[in-house]
Amino acid sequence: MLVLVLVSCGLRLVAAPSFTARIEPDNVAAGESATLQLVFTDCGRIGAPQLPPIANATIQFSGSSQQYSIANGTSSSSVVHQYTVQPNAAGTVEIPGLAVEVDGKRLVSNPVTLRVGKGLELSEIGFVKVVTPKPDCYLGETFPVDVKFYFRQSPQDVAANPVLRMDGFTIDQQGKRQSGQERIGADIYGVVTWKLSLTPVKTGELPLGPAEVETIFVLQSRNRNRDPFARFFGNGGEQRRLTFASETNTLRVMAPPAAGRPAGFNGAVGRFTLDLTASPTNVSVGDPVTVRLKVRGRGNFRALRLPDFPPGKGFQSYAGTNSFEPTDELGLEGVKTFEQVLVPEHGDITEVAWPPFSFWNPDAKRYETLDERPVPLKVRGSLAAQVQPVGNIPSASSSPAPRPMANEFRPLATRIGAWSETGAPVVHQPWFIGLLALPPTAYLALVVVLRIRSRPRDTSRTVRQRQEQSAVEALRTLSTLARTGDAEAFSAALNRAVQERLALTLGGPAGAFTADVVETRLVRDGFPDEDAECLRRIFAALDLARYSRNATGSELESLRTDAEAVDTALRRWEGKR
Amino acid sequence: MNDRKTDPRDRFASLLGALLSAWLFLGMAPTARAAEADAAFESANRLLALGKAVEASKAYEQIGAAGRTSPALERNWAQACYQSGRPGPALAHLRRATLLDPRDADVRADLAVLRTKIGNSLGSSDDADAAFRVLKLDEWAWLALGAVWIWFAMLAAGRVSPVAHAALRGFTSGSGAVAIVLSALLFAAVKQRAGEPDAVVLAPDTPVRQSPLDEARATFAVPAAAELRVRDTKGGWLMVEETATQRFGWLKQSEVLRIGF
Repeated sequence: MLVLVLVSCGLRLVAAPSFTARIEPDNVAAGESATLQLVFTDCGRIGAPQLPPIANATIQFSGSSQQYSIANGTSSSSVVHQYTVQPNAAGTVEIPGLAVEVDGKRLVSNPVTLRVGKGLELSEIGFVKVVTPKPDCYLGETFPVDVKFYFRQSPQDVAANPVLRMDGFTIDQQGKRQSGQERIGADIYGVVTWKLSLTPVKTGELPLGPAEVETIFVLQSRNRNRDPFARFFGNGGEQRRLTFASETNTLRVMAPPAAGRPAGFNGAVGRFTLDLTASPTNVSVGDPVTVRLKVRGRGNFRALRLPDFPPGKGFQSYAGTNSFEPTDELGLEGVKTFEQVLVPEHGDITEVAWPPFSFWNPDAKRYETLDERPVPLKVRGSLAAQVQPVGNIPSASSSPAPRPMANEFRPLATRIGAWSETGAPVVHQPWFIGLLALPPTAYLALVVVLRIRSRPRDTSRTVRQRQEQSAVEALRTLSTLARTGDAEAFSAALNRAVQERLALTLGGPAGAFTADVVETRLVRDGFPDEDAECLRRIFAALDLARYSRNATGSELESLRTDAEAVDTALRRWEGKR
Repeated sequence: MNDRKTDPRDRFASLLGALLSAWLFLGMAPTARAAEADAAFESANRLLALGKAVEASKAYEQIGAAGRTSPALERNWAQACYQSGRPGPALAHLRRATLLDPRDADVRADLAVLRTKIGNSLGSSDDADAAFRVLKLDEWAWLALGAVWIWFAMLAAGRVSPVAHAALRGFTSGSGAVAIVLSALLFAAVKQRAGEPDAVVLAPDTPVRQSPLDEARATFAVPAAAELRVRDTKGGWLMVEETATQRFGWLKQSEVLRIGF
């Protein structure tokens, strides 16, 4: 209990108010900043004081914080106001003692001094060079340029492309960025190289550069070095965006001399060779011949043009095409192919030649002219045969049209003929598949419907169909049996024909009818007497045949006639009923 | 009021007049269009005869831009393309003409000449292929469809009437056999068409790449007017097969002309 009382009494012991100033770090390089802290201890809640103007620095309030502490039984509270101090130049920044009034007491802080050293030396980190192959060049000559960034300490990032300031040059192509190392004197530098190809577009002493390379470096900072957490996590450096610039080069650009300039020179500069080919070389008048000119070498291929094919050489020419296949990264070397279609207009043509091609060779410092040998051509036929007017009615005096040769096209169609809609074939159209599937589908449906409809009457319908078929077939066989004289078979067929027909007409089973049916069922209901008599004769003959199997052919024929008459009469009678 | 009633004969006359006007309007419009097309065709022919092949080719293109074409148009167009130094489109137009009318002797002769000139031996087919080209694919289709319809009509008649069944038994069997044969021929014609090259290369030494990417490596190159079979498409790329060597690869759609419509 005594201890608790002592502790509680002790906690009530409060230190005297104080006001101190401190700056961290107290030694910076130009461009770096420091932090000024004004600490008020046991002064209660006190606002940030307004600082007087400080020479060689810009000071900005950056925030406040409050702290409580107990030390040796004495509690204290502190209010800390922070300011960012940005030195303007190397030297010192003097912050004098600051005076404030707290509860009627005047408190004065201690003066602090910030020493400012010299700024960062970029040349100690790296430098940029613009490398050209020679100090002078010719107008229109394409040459390579290397922009190189050397560094001792690896940068965190380097811009994708440098900014090359120049006047009187155009950039033709830019290669990929390359990285490596180079030894300069005793030192080894890391190097990033950008390759460019440039072409001067005017003459004179032209500036090339400076080339500027933007980078990001992580530099060791005195501010951060004091932060134990930053050091622990490896962030002991400060990220800085640094721009390095090269010196300015000067190139002397000259025009190719006027003296000795060939008439066909059109500004081509470089070292070239020319190859002329044509295909096919065995053609008819009007057939196209493709002429290819391949220019190989090193120079300004982008602006390279060949002289046009001159008119009046017996060819009709069409606009040509060209393509370039570089063999190096910058397109300084390669093959440029010119293609042009020429159509021979008459059969007297024996060769195709291209006008000479002249260029300025900057290495040899002279004009050179390439004049390829003509390509022999074999041209058949006459122009009249090819370009006779189409659709005209030939006059009576005109000679018959020449028969086309085996390797010539047929004459043009003079009528456009029947139109066809352009579209997919009908076999790929959905509606066609539907039309194709419709008949089997409809047939299946019909089969199903007929089965459903005929199901209740299935038995009687089948029996009737069978009886009808049996009666017709029996009647059909009678004539054959009558001719052959087979009385026994005839009687059986006759009996079947009559019985089946009676069954179909009167109902009931076939085979159950006797001669009585004529009187009891037929005559009574209006069956014709004449036909009834025929039926009676048939029943009598059938009775007789049971005992005597002998009958003549004429008798059988007579019975067959009766049977047909009875069959027809019974059908008719049934229809009437 | 009765006087204002229209006479039925007058109403009939009015109706007849309206129908006649509609028939004239609907009938005359295509005739006028056909006359315009004939004039344009003759004009294009004249340009080609004067050696202005490029202009003639554009004129033919304008005629065909309406979504209709004809074997004669495609044949003349092909000659214009060839004379202006574009054998690829020329071959494509002649192939189209053969699709439109496989029996056209002029078209077949021109196709043979063009293939000789450009050194393309593709298309020299065997007799079986030639037999299928006696008819257009559409004609095979309509024949097979007609035969199938007749066969099933006879089957249905036989089902409905036993008398008809007995009377048409022979015809039903015959029409069934014809329908089956024609359907098989249609299937074979479709299969034969599916195996034909259906794209023509436009530019010489066109690279065929390993995958549909500009950066992809070119596995081989095909000459202008080479005929290829399109197997697949992806974006603006076509997977093609060189049927003679059975090599596959990708090239851009703009580098070929499709033959089919």
